[in-house]
Amino acid sequence: MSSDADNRQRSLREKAEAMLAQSHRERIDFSPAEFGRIIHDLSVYQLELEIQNEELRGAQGQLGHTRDRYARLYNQAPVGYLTLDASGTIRQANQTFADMMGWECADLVGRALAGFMAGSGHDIFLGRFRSFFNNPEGKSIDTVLHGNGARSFTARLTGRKETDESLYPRQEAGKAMLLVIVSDISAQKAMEDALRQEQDTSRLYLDVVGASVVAIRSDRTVSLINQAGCRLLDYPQEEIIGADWFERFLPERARAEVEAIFGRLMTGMIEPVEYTENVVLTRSGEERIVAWHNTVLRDGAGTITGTLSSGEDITERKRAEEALQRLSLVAAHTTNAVFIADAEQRIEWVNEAFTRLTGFAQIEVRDRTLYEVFQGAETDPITVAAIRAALDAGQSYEGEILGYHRSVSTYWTQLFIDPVRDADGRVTRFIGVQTDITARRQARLELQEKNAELERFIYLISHDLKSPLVTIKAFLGYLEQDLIRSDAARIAQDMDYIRAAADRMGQLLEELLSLSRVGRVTRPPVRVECRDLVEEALRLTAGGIVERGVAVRLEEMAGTLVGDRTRLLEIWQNLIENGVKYMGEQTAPCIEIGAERRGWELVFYVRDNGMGIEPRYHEKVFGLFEKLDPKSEGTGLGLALVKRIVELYRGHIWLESAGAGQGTCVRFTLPEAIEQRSEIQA
Amino acid sequence: MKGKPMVVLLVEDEPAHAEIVRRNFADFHPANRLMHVPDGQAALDYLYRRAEYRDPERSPRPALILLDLRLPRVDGLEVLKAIKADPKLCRIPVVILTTSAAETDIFKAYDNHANSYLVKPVDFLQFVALMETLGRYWLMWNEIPLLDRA
Repeated sequence: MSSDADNRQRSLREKAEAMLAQSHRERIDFSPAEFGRIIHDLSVYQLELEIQNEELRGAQGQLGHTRDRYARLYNQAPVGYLTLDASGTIRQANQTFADMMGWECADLVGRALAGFMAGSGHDIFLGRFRSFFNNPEGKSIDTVLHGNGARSFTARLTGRKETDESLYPRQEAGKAMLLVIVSDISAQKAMEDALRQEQDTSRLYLDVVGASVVAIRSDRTVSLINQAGCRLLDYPQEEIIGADWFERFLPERARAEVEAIFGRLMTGMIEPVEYTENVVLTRSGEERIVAWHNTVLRDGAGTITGTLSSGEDITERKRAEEALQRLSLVAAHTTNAVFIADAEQRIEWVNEAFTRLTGFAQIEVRDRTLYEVFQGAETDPITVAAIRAALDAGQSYEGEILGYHRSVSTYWTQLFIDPVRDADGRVTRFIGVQTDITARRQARLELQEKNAELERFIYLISHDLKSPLVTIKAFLGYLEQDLIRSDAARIAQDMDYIRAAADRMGQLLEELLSLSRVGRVTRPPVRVECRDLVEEALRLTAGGIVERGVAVRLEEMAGTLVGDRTRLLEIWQNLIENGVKYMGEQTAPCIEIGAERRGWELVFYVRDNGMGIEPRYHEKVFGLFEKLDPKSEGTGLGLALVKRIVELYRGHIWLESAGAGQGTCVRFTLPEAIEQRSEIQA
Repeated sequence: MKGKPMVVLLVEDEPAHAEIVRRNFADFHPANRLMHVPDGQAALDYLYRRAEYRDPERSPRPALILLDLRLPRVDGLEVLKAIKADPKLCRIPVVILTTSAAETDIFKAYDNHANSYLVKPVDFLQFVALMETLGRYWLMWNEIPLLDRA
């Protein structure tokens, strides 16, 4: 036992002796036996007391150790501890807090904590303190504390209501106290600030970019959307964040498909689809097409937590593309031939119809000029010059032009060429559309021909039919005079003229009627052998043949015709009659009739050795009422009638004659009357 | 009024019509000589003294030409064009005498410098009156330019 302990024991003894002396206890006399017993008891008691005392001293020492350990813990804790009273005054502070502040602990006690704050921090702290003091659970106050000198730091204050009064400073017993834990969060704050700044910058980036950026959590809710995304969907950000993306922003019909992809993305079953297109629904219910670039988001452990997508509203582009696609479909599939040429009038593109019309495919005409493609030997150079002039001047051209197919056949087209200009008015392209009007043009030419024929008919009424009438009336007048004068010779002459004119009128009317019936009145087609037809024609014209003594040679006549028998017969009948009629001075008149093959065509002929026809009249003789010999009996309708019948069967008729006195050969074809089978046999 | 007999060339394919004109001339203008050719080719042969009209005796220069329009071989209009295009012939008055009253014929005739256009009347008395007036006007009152007699 230490001397310190001995001293204490001695002082305790002295204290006890003094107390005993003052107690005025009655002195009692004891027998020696009693003394002996008492002394024994006292000795035992003394020992017990000494043992007790020793134990107490041990306990006290242990308590001291414990107290020191706790004090060390308190003072050397990594955080500052403060005990505040209800007024916010510091009642106790640990060494850590004192170190934070650069003060001595003792100097801090009795000061208001708010006194170490400045500006708005000070006011905010005071404003919040009461509620913090009364109910500190789960709360924290971040504030800047200014310590000794220039020392200051950001402190996070969290509190706990102190209930163990024994822990209070001695003099504060019975008052409510708040234990405040002070953490220096300057570093954390700086990091948080930096992080926040970074986040703000990121957010700024997100909001600045034109694309919509959307993050979707694995639970399908939106965790992030930027301003472009909000504008696209036309909702405020707070209404979008947390909403179910699929439920809210996708039209029902598209939902299942996108959800399925999302689901598989979430489970990692498929790799992120780099690029997708889908429709989103805006607040007004409008659908917008969005092209997305997607990636998956993972947490630290690599688990997929959601998707991040940037999307671009391609609705307008898509519509424009569709419109363009539709237009290009029109251009590609129209039956009109379409070409696009550059500003230099070189072809860039042609459609299928162009290839069908011209026989040239895109690659064959690319970079060739329009003129190379259209021009041919018979193309009107004036038309080509007009096109070039219009295009060089940047103007439209519209007109008809003869084009050349690659197989050198020709076609007529209605051609429209329009210049296309850029915003500055410069010609950048030409678009040409061609309509095949070969058939239309042919029909028009035929119509013009028919019109011309009709005009001749009208002419006939005013001249050829009137002419015999003039004769009749005039000679009736003379007849009257001659009857009065009884001039027998003149009377006979007058009557001859009248009779001839009347006959002529009758014949004219009959032939006109016949002519007008060709093609208008049709009898059902019948099969007839060419040879039979010619033989019948010869029988019908036998009178003239015999009278003029014409020798007839019927040559090779294979073939069968199908058509109007009467009309077909009229062809040969008229031609034979003409041959006989215009035999002239021929002393050995002869007519040859036959057919020969020229290429794939069967060409019929009726040849005579009569007076012949000068080449310059070869066309004219086929016109209505055209006669070469004014003295002949004909009406000028015979060959016109034959021509009409031949044309009815899509044939041609022409004359071959070296001239006057050289004989005449009339040749003709009847393509549509020739029976195909017999043609093969022939 | 002129005493000299004048030559009139009649180009007419219809023999009956030629006969009507001939009879009228005989009745009203017997002093004048009517030469008749039946078609356009013959008319040109006559005027240019070719083929059967090579002999000037057979083809005296006419003081008036009566020209039908619809003619075989060479058309009346072609004959008119040839006459009016030839400086030696163009002064000869050409009177179209035809059955056609078609506007196109009238226009074409005047376009090619016909001097007059007459339509043959269907009525006999009118035809006779026309022929009388025609002779009186063109052969008696009308000044005929001096013609090449060669």
